[in-house]
Amino acid sequence: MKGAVVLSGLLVTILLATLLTMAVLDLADGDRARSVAAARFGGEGTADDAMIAVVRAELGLDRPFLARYADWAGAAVTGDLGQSFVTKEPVAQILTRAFAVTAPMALAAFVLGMALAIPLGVLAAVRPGGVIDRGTVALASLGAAAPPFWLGLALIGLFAVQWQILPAYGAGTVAHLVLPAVTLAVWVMASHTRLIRSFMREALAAPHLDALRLRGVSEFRILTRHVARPVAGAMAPLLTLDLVGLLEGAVVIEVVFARPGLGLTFVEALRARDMAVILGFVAFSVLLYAAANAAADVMSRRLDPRLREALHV
Amino acid sequence: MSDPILKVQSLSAQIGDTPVLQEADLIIRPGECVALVGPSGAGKTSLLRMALGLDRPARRVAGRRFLLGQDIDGLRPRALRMLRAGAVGFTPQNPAAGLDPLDRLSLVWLHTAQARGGDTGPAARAAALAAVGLPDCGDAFPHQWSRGMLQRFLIALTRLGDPALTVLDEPTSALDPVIAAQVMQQEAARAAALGTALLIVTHNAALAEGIATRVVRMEGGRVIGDRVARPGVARRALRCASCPDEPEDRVLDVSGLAVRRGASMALSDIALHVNEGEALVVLGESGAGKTTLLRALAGMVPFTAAQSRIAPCALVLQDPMAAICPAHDVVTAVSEPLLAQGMPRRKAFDQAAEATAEAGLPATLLSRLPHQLSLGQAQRVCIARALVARPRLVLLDEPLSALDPDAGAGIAALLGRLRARHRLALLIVTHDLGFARAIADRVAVLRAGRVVEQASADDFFAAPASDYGRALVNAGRRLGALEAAA
Repeated sequence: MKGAVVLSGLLVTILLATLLTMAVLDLADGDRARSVAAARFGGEGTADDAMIAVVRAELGLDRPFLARYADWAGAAVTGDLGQSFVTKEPVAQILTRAFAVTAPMALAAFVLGMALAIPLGVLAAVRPGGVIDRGTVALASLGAAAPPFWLGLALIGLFAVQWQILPAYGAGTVAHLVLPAVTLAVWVMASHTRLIRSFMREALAAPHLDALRLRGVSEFRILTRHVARPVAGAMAPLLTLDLVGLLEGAVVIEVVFARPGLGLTFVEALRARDMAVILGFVAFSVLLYAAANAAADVMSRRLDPRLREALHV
Repeated sequence: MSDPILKVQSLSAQIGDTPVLQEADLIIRPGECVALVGPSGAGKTSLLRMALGLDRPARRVAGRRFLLGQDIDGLRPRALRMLRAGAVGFTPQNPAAGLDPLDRLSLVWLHTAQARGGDTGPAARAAALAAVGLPDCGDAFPHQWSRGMLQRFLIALTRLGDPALTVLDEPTSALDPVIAAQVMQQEAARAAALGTALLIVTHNAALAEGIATRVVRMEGGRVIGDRVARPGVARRALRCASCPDEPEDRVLDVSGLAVRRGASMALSDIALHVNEGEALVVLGESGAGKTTLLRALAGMVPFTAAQSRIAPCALVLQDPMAAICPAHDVVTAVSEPLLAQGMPRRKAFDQAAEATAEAGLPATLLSRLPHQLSLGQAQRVCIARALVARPRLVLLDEPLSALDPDAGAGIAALLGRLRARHRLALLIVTHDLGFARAIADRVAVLRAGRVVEQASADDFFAAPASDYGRALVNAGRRLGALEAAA
């Protein structure tokens, strides 16, 4: 019963999001048939009127908006996301392939970034105002301020052009993963170091820690148990959403490093007005975020007993 | 004379560059029960923390401190931790500050029993909790218990392994008077019987004089007095001379009032009235439905009633700081009810300034933010906000419980003045029997969601009719909050 409510809510969200996406793209200027034809036959101005007419009829772009949306949605609920307007490849296949390129990069960046952020944030919080604290804040500010595309280009300049030890662009091998993952990891490190630092300071100031000290609990145990748990509880929902954000938001990085992942695929689909791919991408995003939210809920409830009752209401 | 359990010699301490303790002395011997009293900011908490070696945020500048004869400044951190865990049982003022919200109560119990060498078995635990009137904690987490229950849990926890020194910081703030008297007498008896000692930090003068053997008074970071306790302190009367009970003068008249909570009833068959200018005090144990009653009368909780006539009224909540938006300055906070009615800003601010002055706050405070106020000042802001729309009835939930005795006496006097000047009616929920005796014209006793007794204050305090009323009045006499029976 409860699962049915959640699933129908998810379905409505996906339908609304895709309807809105289609409406916005429909309202945008320009002829979609011309964009698709141009993308198919290689460049602006190469398609003549006859070709454009063929494309228009084939994709049903001469039909009313709602009829086209109903066609797409009807097929989508049965799991059929259609074919790319440009390459005629099934959309599900395009998304799967792109996901397989993006996921390792996002995961590597996330793990690397957190591996730096956790010790830095903890050390900074334990001695506020100390050398480590100030150094960490400076490093985090620098990392947050450096634009990823600039950092990516700088790394390419050093490692691929100057020293020639890593490939500058493309995907496929572990070596291809290093530069984009490091670029993203700097952003992860920068934003999470400061979050962990402030959550830690809050947890360290909790009044019950003194009561624990008086009951004989050691400082080590206070840190590893009574401070770590609330910090983990506060971070859990942010982390899952950030992980999804990395999967979706790696557009700039994928463009800089020419990696055919989700971000680059989406940008190309937008450029070509490839509606089937765009809608498929939006539906997939909503699903990912819903999954992340559900995972965050479960984790929060495991980490904080007070939420177990609160979230059931 | 036996060796002291705790000895502090001319201890001075600072937070940053601000002195918080100046040459403070404190000696506690076996079998003693010492009350540490003084207004907020007197340094009571600082002395307590420093005496036990909690050197943050304050740090020691000069002086020495001994626990069980050992100089704690000569101990390694681990040795101090072990000594303290075995020798000291501590219950903080706010029970939430005594427990990690993520730990089950049973786990806290187990760890403490292990650290102090007490009995770790579940039967011993159930017996120890029953001694303070609690059920066994089972698998419960702290948030599943009320404040009063957690405070009793912590007091039972301090008894584990019979530590040489038990420290109770404001032990009765979350307890109703019957439980408070019972628990405090147990504590005093234990100290005397076991040769252990009790240190109570309190705002409650009646508790200090009634339970303690010695009263140490602090002010401005110094110990300014150390004397033998004097049970039975007199209280000043705040009541109005006479309030005739005429139906047309009633500002509140309800009967058959009921509030449903889930499948059970939080309140049922409540019949109450309050006359113009009259103070009705509602007494009752934790969980009796006192706060729910106020919230229902203020329209915050839906209720059913056979009859209900409620004049325009205002509610003053229990925690003054939590009741003011931290981002609003005093004048904005006080003018809120007027702004909500659509009154122009300038006019609302003028009336708010007037109400604030009437609540006894200087005009210089009007632009302050809540965190820049003392608790007593914050309570006055809440009262000013309740008055600003000129209600005929003010509902107050524990108006003194957050305040030190000086600030509390000020608020009590203010309430007495306001009712005399505006013929304002008051409906007050309180655990403070001294305050109740001083201000009440009539008393109603609430128990398990029902009114079990309603009488004039003089009749009630002379000869309460209900069992719970008798228990309350007896507890008040034992604690010294009420004069002994004639």
